[in-house]
Amino acid sequence: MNHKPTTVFIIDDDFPKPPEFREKGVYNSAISMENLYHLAVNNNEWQHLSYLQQLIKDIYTSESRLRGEINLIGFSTPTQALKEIESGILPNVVIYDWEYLNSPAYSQNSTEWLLKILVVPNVFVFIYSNLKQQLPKYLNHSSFNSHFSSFQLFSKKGEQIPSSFKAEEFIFQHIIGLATDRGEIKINGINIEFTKNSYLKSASDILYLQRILGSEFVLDELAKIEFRVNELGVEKILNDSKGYLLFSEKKNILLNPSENKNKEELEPLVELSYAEVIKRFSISVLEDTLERGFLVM
Amino acid sequence: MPALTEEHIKILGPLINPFERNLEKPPFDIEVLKARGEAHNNAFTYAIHNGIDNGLPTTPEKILTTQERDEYRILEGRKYFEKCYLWVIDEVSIKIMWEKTPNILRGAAIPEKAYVCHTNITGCQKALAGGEMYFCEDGNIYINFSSDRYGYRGTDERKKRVIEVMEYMEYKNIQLIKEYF
Repeated sequence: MNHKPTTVFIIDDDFPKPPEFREKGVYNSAISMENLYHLAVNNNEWQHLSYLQQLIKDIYTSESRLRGEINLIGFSTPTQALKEIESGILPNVVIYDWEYLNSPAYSQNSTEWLLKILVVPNVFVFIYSNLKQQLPKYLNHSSFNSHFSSFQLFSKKGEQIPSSFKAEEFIFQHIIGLATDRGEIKINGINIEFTKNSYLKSASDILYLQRILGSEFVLDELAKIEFRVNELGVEKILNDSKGYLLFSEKKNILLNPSENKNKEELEPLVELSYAEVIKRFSISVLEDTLERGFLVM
Repeated sequence: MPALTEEHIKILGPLINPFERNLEKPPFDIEVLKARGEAHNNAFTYAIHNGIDNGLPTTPEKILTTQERDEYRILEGRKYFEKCYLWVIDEVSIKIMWEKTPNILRGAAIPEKAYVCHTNITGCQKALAGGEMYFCEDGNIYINFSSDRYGYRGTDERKKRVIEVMEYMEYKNIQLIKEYF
């Protein structure tokens, strides 16, 4: 696990701006974690940014932050954040507001600022926008080709990741996952104790489980394991599903059992439970095999 | 180049909805696909080629070399994502798209999959068949029928008919990749 704290930048020009903070010049440079929390708990002017308000509260009050594993910094503009990066403070996670209405041609500027942030090694950027459906024309572009695994898009309108996490829950679990092996996350508002295990490397891998086993099944099973997602808990969920694949040692091929037209050619075939498939290969291999019918390893 | 004839559609038909041949999946729900960024195709018109207008892709770096074909064991059924195209035959023609064409709306829902899928070619409309495709420098086009949405698990006879229809358009020298279903 990292010894350095996980550094999180939040960049948004719409943070509430109470007079006493304005007078102190709080918004002229990096906004400290304590000031962000102060704004989150003492101010009701967040309105459309309520997701961000909740996220700041969740991060600030998390055990990881209390243990010094998370450093949270706010910025009113991307240029302030870029200056901080130039000074050597490199973020692990950036929560990036796309809209800067006071800036002319802000989408063009946002694109350029975002590209500068994405070159920070190992950074992950969550982009928030009111214009989610319009952003592909800026981001489905070749200049982003080498960065597609480094950012994710969310709507400010409070949508939910299909099947499970709310957007702020998803970001929260991502940050906790970087900072620590074990922590409390939320799914649909329910507190879940997540511990990294040999099946799920991060809490967001629960999305794989939901796609493979079905959302309702997984949510039911979470109750059965008392909302403790750890080695034993995930193993129980997988075993309760009774799912398995067939594996040909001879040809090194995984096969969906329902795809059995050419079985003789692959024999001997052994049954591998979903749990065994994940341990031996990975959860993405399990999903790919189920989708494609077979997978040559 | 000619579009599909009524006779072709009859031979390859019926037209199916996404996942219709995939009995293990729950019934097709367009709202689920929309929420996952898998239902729209309007953002990808620049990336979709078809067999009657703009033909084959010409991007050299996406052409499979014979070395890659052997190294990645394409003919044994292994996948090489960097050079893989998705293909679909709808009621008009064959349409293809490079699988790694960015789809950030899908990535917003499934972070590991910020690229396109078969329904991003069809816009979730009905189609006759679908799978994966490699354009190789040896002059062959290698295809399979691996698609959980429009794939086909049937006999070689039917696959042969699909290949004949592809060759009726601009896609020649098609070789079927080994499949295990």
